Amino acid sequence: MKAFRIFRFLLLVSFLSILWGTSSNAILVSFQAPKAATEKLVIYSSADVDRIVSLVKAFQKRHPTITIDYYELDTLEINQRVIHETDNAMPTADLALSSAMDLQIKLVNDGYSSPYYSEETKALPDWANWRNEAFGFTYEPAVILYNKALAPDLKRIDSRFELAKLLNQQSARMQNRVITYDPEFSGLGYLYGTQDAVRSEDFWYLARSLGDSGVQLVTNSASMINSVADGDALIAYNVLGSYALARARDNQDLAITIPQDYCLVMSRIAVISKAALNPEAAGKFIDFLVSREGQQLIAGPASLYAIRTDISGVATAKKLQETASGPLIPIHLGPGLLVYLDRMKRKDFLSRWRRAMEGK
Amino acid sequence: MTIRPTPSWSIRRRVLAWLFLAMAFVFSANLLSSYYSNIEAANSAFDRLLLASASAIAERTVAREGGIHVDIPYVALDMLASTAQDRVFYTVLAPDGEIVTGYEDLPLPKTISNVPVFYDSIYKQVSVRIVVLRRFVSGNNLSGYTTIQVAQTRGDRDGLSYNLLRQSALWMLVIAIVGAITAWFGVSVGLRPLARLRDALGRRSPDDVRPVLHDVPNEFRPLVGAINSMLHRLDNGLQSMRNFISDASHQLKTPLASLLAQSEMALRESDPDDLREALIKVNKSAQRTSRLAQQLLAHASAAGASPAFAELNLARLVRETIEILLPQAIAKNIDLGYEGGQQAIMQGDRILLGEMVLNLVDNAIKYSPDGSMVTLGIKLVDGALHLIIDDDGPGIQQQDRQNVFERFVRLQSSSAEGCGLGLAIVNEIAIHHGAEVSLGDAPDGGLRVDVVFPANTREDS
Repeated sequence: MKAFRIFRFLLLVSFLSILWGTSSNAILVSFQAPKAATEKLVIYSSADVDRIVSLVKAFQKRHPTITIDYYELDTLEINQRVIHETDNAMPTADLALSSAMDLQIKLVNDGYSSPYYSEETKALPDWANWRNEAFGFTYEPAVILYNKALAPDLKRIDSRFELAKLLNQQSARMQNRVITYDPEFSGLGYLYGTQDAVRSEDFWYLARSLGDSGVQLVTNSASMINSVADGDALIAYNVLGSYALARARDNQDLAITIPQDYCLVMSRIAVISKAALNPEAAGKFIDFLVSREGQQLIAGPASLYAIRTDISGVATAKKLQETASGPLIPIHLGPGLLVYLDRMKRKDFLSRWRRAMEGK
Repeated sequence: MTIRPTPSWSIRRRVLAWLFLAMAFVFSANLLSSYYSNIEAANSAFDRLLLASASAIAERTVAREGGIHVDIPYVALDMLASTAQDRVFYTVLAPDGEIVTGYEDLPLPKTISNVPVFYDSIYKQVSVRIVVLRRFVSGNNLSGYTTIQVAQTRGDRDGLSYNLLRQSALWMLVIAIVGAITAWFGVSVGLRPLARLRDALGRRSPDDVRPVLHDVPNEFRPLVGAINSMLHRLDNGLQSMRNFISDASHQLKTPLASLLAQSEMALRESDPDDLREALIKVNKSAQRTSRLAQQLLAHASAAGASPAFAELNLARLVRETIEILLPQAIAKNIDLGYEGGQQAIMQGDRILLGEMVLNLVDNAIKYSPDGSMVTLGIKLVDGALHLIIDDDGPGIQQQDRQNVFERFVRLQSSSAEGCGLGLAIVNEIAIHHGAEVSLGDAPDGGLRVDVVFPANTREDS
């Protein structure tokens, strides 16, 4: 892994800011085919490249003539690029892997995807396959992460209501020491926020409490985990469980709580783009992601939580379902996800969020 | 599809072919009508959901500071999650037609009224079902009708109508199979009486010509009737053949016995003159017997043989016969003559007709007194050909005229030698030619025989 990091930064890092201006922080990693390359597969993905190296290598062992260009991008950027490039007949991704389920569904609904039928995808639960065009391949819980070295008492914070109560009762202690996603600038943060708003009356109460506490807002889980690990923040809300689990294994200071009022479960969604140059290879990659071998790697080295219930291990849907004390709420694929992408709805949600951040 | 049953097609194949032809016609009509009614049924089932979704959006559309405001409820789109996972599009337009939120360019119908309108259209290159409705909003100095459209791809509707269609097609297939099986075995069951009839006929001995009395279905009655009538004719034919053989053997016995007796007497004669006289008697007896045998054979072939019809000249046939019998006529000093044309063309069997004329003329010579006249003639009356033989003989009494056509009948009054076969043969041959033989009075007091060949025997077949 370490060797690969060096390889990655020395040889293949490129910032694709030509098209997307200075705001883009895209990383391209090219995985050369082990044998003479005959085809190329272009992937846009929101997953850290470190996490999927094992998957890509195993895939290439099976299909040794496919070179993979892996673009690590924000969820919003994946969506905008696929739409922009398809509309303008530019080369685009063959496969988009994104944790922003709503954006992926919108891609499919608006006709930017192409269907894929295979035996392997039948192993997925019904809610994780929409139109055979969007395939969920992970089962990642949104969790609470806290620093048990600095604040062991936070072990009891196991629900949104408890968290809000804590922020209100110990406002001096918690001031600026709580961290969560910024729904305005993070696709996944927006999905979590809106899904919470649909399901829980406590959400806006929590949001106001977060605002009162001067919550730190960031756009990715890695930043949240770093902040809690450094002791900068004591507790993080709606952290990607997969990332938190991986870090908690190495860092004894970090502890994970699965909220017991309910736990949102996100699936990374694979979509083959309509303008794909190599949809066959993209299909093979989807097949691999949902195959036993792929899911075993997702449960193991990638620790992204395998969605298939016939896979066992720590990072699996099966283990999560066995150990969670509260309900697990997987976010189902379907047209309901389009609602909060409505521009007026989004404006309303974000203005309410901003008011809450001001404590109103 | 046309059906052209070849003669080798079995009844079963014919029945099945017609059955399938009829079924194909009825089923395609049925499928076509159910195709349209299924689409309608599918539409009405899913249109309500589409309307509920649009209504939910309409309810949350308000006029507010800054214009029209829509808060799309989560259920509005979530309720459209379907088994076919249809794609969903929606649009809200302000009273001025400006888009408030949603998808741009969703096609609008030609007219929008205050009642919801459902219509089919194409959006993003896929066919969609759309509902459009209007909602009046007022507030903040803004009043008017907003337009709400919700569209859904046709996956679920097409799936439902396809399923309904497949179901009815499946039922029709079942009906077709049951129908075919029923027809297959029905034909066997229906033809079972015919099989029994076949077995019964097959078991019969060759000379068993009793009528068939089996109970058969109505459809076979005419066939059985025809078989019975044929058996009846066959029976009659066999019976008359038997009668003829017994008659013939009886008739031959007497002349053969007298021939035997005369020849024995001749053997006993030693005087050459007596011997010669006896031999003359033997010779005469032999001639009569020979003539009788010839006539018997002629009659047998006339009764049994199927005539070989060909075009022939009856006038020529008559003249040839006269030439044969001229020596007999001269011996009795009879004036044998012919009156008529040279040509009388007709269809007939040359040998049988020759035998008929021979018998008629032979009879006339036999029964006429010495030195009288026998005249033959051919006439054409109303298209029918008449062969007329007049003699100067005693004629035949009115009451005897029917009997003389029977075999071996000789009249009491008759003095001439004969066996009584002549007119029976004539009658038999006439029947074969569709002709009629009538007996009448000749102008000079003797017998007139008139053989009338109907017009059609003269036509070319």
